[in-house]
Amino acid sequence: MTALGLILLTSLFIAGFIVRIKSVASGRKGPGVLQPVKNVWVLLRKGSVYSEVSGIITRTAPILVLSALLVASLMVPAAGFPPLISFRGDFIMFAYLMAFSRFMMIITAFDSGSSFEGMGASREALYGMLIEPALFVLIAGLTVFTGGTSLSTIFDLTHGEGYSYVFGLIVAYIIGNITLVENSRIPVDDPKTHLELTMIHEVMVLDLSGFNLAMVQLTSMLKFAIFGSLIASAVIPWDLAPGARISLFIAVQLLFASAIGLTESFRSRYKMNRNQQYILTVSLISVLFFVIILFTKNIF
Amino acid sequence: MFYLIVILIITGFLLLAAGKKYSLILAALFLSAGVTACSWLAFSALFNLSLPVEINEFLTGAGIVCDRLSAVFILIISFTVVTGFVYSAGYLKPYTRSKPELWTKLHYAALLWLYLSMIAVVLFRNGFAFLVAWEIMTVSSFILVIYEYDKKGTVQAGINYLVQMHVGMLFLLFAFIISSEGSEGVSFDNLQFYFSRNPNWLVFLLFFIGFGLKAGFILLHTWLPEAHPAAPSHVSGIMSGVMIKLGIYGILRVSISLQDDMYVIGTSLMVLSAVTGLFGVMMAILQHDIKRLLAYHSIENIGIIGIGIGLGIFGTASGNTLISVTGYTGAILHTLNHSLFKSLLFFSAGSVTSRLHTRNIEQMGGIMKYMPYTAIAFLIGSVAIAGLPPFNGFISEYLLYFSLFSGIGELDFYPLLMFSLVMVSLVLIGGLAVFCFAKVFSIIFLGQPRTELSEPPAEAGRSMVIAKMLPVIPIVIIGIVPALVVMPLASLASGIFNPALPFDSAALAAPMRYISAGVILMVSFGTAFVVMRMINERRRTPVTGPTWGCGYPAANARQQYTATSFSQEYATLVRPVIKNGASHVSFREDEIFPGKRDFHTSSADVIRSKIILRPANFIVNLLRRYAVIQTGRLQHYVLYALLFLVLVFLLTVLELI
Amino acid sequence: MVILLYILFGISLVYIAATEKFSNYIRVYTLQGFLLFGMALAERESFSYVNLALILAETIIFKSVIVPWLLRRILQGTGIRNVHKRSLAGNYTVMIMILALGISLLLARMLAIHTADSTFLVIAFFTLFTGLVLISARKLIFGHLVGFLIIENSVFLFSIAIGKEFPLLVNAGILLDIFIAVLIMSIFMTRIGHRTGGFEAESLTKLTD
Repeated sequence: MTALGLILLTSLFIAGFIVRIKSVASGRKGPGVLQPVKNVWVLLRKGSVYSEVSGIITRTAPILVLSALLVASLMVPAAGFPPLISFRGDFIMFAYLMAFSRFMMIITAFDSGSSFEGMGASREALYGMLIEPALFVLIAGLTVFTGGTSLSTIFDLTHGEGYSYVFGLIVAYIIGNITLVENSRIPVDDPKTHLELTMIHEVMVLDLSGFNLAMVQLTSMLKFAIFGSLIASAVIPWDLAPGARISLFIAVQLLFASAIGLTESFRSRYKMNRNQQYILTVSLISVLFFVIILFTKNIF
Repeated sequence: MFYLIVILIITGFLLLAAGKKYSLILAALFLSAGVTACSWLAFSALFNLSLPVEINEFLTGAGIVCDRLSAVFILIISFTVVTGFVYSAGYLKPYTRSKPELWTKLHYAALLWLYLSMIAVVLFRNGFAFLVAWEIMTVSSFILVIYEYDKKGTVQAGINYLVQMHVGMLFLLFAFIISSEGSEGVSFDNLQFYFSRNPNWLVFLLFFIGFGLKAGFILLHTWLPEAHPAAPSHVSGIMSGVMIKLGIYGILRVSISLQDDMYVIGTSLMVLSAVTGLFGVMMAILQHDIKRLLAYHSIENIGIIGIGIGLGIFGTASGNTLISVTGYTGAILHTLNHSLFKSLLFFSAGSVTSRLHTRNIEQMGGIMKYMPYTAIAFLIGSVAIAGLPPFNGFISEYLLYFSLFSGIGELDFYPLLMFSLVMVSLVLIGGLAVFCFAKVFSIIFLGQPRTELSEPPAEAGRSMVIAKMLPVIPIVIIGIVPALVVMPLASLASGIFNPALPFDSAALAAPMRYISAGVILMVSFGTAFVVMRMINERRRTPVTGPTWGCGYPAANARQQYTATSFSQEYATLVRPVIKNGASHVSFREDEIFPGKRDFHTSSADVIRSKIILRPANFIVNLLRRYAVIQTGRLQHYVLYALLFLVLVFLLTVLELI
Repeated sequence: MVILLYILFGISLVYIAATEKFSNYIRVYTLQGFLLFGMALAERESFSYVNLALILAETIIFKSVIVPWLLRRILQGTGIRNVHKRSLAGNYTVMIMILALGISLLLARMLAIHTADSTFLVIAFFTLFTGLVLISARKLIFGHLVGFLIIENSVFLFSIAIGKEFPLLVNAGILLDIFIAVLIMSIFMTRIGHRTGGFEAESLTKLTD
């Protein structure tokens, strides 16, 4: 329960914090940290505009996107607080729930009959497919290292024998890159661009409005919180006092948000065909991590 | 076996002789009789009910043995054939007018024979009876495939299929004969004895080639992408749903008796299946003919099942029951799941293609408005085949991952590396399947029609809709309450494949409960949000307007994203492996308003062209030189006979013979 | 702590394969010089000043100071900046690198020699394969040169892996190789390169007479 509460709490401010960091880095004051939540609140009560071409998919699929991700968030540990649902092999359900929400986003994008949305959907489908091996190889490495079988145990890095703080850093780096791809941030996609031809995620929600758009925005905020929680679980030792863990958790999430914000401010977006190479490089780093774990565990 | 032949002859004769109106009803009657009898047999085997003594004697006299594995397959076969039959009642209606009446009746007779022979394949243990049933299955499916013999390429595809199946049967014959050395009679039960005394891998390889040709493993798959598009949709559904699974049944039956070489066999089977799965789905993304696409997906799913079987064999070899039992359970469950959603997909595709008269997905679009039931069925099938929760495809893939990760947590270096490789292949296969089916569903059903429709297509007929909705029920049920099916299958797998080692089913029971909980939660959240949305829309009615076209006022339906564009980045990525190309389109420099151009893309099945066609063409060309012997004149042939006689006479005189 | 060095070395190789600017090649090579020094120190069992001076000279002074300076001069003299567009695309390079990592793991395991530290063998093989990938996948000669230098790094790593002492001969050979390569390449590229039209490796075939 605590884990879920922490994740939901984080999802409220993390998106706004990233925007704030970006604004400060470019010399502005920026909107308040809770501004995205206020936006969502307005959207939830607003009326919707539907395209004549779209059918039941646009009306239902965004809801399923959020529902799937909510169930996925029930499986995520938060720095030693156990998740509500945890069973052997639950990381598979976690990854496939995210794939399900991606599937629903893609068919929502095509339902409008706009070719821009199709363009974004095809890119999102390809990048989502290419990043999955990175996540799974990372989880395989963690399984070998900790000997655990579910998300609630494999992120307990500090108790594995042969642990070195470097492992936490590498896991944080890999998950950070996965976040950049899954949430469509720079360098994969620019959330602030207005050019439909170059958008990936933003263009898929171009035709959504009101309640459905609120669903999608909540999903993106929740995804940040989930990945940040995974990083926090990997970095924070699990046997500290609960109060210390909670404050460290918030600190790590804020650090994670700052890292994303600073990356977005100081890096430019890759050319489209460079994105595939970037994603494959993340997989390569995952494999490198796996090899290093093999060394440490003397399986090699 | 004798009884089988008698039944087949009687029913076939009756069907062919019946009047036009009654043939469908008669076929339905025979089919229901067969299904009831076989299901009764299956259930009594599954739940250990004892049959009346006379029936038992009759069965043993006829050489029929029904153990739990056969029972599961009987149920799978019966369900899909029944739905296929219901579908065909509506699907074949437009054809009955244009085809000769006898041909349609023969079609129904062949359908019935196919069902009976499939059941017989699963029930017979005696080698020769098995092969006879196998042959009847091949011939009846051949008759079914070439139903539309007037279309170009159908008969060729059918003959390709027939030839390859016979090659497979030859391998099976060899395997049976070799394995019967040392025991009397030719049977599956002799394998136990043979494997305990001789190296296992050779006979397993022969059996694998024979059964693999039916199943569609890589290098043995080339008939699949030709035969499935050529056949009518209910036949494709039945063939892809259950008939190729009989190859899997054969491999399972052989691997029960394996005793030696199991590491090698398990590893190579896993690696080969991973390659099969990857190849199938990678080719599928580049296809534009919807039935060819679904055929390549069948190859992919056979690969997934093969990974499960390989895991099972490997687990038995290393004594790790968790890996072994979950591997086998995943394989058998995926067999069931695949028959459900593949037949569903083929039926939906058939409805769409028969209304639109084209199989090319690039010309479709926006069908959801006209055929909502078909669209929902296809959506459920797509989500299931992509292996996504909340439907059944996820459960079987979950079991395979469970098995793989159990191995990754425990094994030494070389097996660990191999398991990781297979795991990454499975991840890629899953991701590519999501990619492909998101594309296919969206291009066919969403958006606007990409070609002008002269009249909007009507929803499919009632029987076709019922046939599509029938598999949806198990798909959803297995997805929501997987423990119903997984726990019995796990105990089945453990009892059949690892009878000596104990298996603790509690390790599987808890995850299944949690998965159910997760799925139910997801559905509840979804419902809650839908209710919230409806409350919102009651207060502020939604407004409809045109799709945002970036301010471009002349957008038309043809400008929507196409399937080729969707897969274009992917196609460029895999170009070194799968040769795909596009025709080159160029414009003159002074052509300010471009004129009409034609453009087409192509992707070649590299294995078919390089490994099968090239040697085949080489041999044909070589033999063509010697074809001068066949002059066509009777006098020359008599001369050849005379020469032969003289030769034999000379050789006898010189005492060489 | 040493593991950090391995990880950084691995990441530096990944970075070289993925980057598009030649100046990054030089930076990574400099970093690798420092990392090699650290690795050599960590594996030493006893310190003798002569050996220490030699290693210091070889890795830090040579690889991190002199050679990058020479390489930078080449870049300035010829004005090339980016990896040529017609080289092997980045995607395939990364995929080949993943394959190379797996193969080096397998090779090191199969060649398990008692005196060798397997960790170093894996890194050495991976470096070797990276160098080979750079040579075969890049069109401009500068890429070939850096690939060659990385292969020399892998020879250094092999020598650490096989024996804990640093035989003078091997190290002298490495130094000579690097020196000649860089010297010849710098002369070629700054003096002759302009005349042969471009710095692609294929233009070398035109130097018939």
